[in-house]
Amino acid sequence: MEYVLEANNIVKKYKKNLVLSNLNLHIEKGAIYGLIGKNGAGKTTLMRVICGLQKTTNGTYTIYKISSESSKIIEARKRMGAIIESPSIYLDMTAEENLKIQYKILGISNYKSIYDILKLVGLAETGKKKVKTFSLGMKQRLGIAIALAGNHDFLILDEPINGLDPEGIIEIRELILKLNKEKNITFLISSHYLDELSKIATNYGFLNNGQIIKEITSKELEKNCKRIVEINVNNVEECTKYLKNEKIDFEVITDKLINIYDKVNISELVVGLSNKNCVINDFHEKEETLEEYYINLIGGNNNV
Amino acid sequence: MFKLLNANFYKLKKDKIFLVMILISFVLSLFAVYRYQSMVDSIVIDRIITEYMANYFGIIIAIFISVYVGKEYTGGTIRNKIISGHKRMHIYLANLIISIFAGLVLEAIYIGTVLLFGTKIYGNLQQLMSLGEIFLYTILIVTVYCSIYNLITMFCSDASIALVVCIILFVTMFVVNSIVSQKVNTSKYIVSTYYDEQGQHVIDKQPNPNYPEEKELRIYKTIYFLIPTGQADVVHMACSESSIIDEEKVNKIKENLTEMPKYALGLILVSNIVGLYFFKKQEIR
Repeated sequence: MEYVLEANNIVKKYKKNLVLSNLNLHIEKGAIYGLIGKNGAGKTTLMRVICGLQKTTNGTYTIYKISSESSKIIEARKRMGAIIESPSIYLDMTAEENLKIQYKILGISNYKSIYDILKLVGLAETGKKKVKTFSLGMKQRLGIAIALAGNHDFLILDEPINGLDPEGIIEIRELILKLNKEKNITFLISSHYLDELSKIATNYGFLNNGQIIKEITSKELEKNCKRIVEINVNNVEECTKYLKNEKIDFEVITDKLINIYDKVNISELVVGLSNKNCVINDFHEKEETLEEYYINLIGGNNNV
Repeated sequence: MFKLLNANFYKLKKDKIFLVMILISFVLSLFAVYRYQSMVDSIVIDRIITEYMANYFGIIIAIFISVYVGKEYTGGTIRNKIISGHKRMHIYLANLIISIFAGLVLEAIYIGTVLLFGTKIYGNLQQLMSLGEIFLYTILIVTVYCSIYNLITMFCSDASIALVVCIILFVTMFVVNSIVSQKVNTSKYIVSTYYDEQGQHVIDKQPNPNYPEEKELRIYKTIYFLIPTGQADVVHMACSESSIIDEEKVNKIKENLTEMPKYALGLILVSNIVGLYFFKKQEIR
């Protein structure tokens, strides 16, 4: 398996504060890797370390198989772009001028592709408009355009949809999917919007207390996510007796609602309850969401 | 580093603060030329040329560097340079070089304008320092200012904080210089000339009671040569006094002009080594 990024026991301390603790992470080529963790879990710190903005206290990582301890890591970084916290752009300049500066930083003297990049992110028509007049979504897209300059094939996006309106969120989501599919760009994305992340991510890394506690593909996640059958009954007492008898995992939610966590045959359940004079008034099948999976993984709501 | 310089020059060309500073320097040069018109007999053009460096340049370049370089940190654009695979040393030096270039452009605009309009009023330069020498000293002092402000901006990592710190530093150095300069440039003797009863011209040389003791003078001189406002004052004094024939003063000026560059070069070296060392270790947010 070809990994774009591999982290091996990364430790990062700020004075006495341990932010990353023996963190291990693996990002496959072409993946959209969703990094999930609560505030202060170390998501941004990890990204800063990978981008070379900060040094690890211990441990190493490899980008395109080049170790962080090698002086060639600078060359590997030339293949990646990033937006950490906010897009790094010059507000007093136009979108085109911002890209021109990035091209000069990268040593690209042919500016013909600037238009293509701006078109790709939907900013081709901004003309002489200064970036300071852009909406948050436009700034974010320009940040992605800058990160893309130089034909990068690995992008790191830290909270790319933070503060965006629904339209902006859709724009960024579609842009990421487009870049991933059309240009085979690998993404490392952190986001608090788990619902949104679940729409694009192919892999997940769950970060808690400075460690990746689980890495999972979206397919595995789908298999692992529990299916919940929520039933609304007229007689909770009889219903619970029946479920206990049948050794079915359940939870009473209210005096009418019961969640069933095991796989059940619905027809058998309806007949069985009916024999106990219990009628099912309503019935829903729910799948555990990414959010619920994450909360269960880190040990319930108290830990969020 | 060429790539970084290329990007920095492009940014400088588009920078509004730089344009404003160019305009201010131009206005200041015209103001300086016409301000002394009534004293045309006692003022030499050399003095006007170096007045900008002595009084205004320190604050103008402080504003420019803290905003121009500071914006890289505040806007996060410095991250693009690091992520793009540039060495930190190159990033730091590219910022320093562009700051020095901008400083020299501002100086050139001021000096050029003064020469253009001033020589008709005040005549040509006096003999103590040639225009070439003035330029060399200007490059030196511009580099000192830029090295210090670049270091501060890197430490502050925020344009507005850097701006406040740089301005406070300049004002402090300006005040310190006005005190120290007075002490250092005081004559050892008070020379007075008069005609005696026989009608003979007498030169009376009395020790100056305000002249500092040797140890005290050495301390004042060290401070004077160590702060950029003092270094600029050394050049300014040399240009202001160029028409005076007092041998003691001329010798003192020449001595200062020889001593000061050693301190200036030391300051450039130390501030940049410290800056590079800490920038290499700096945790960029």
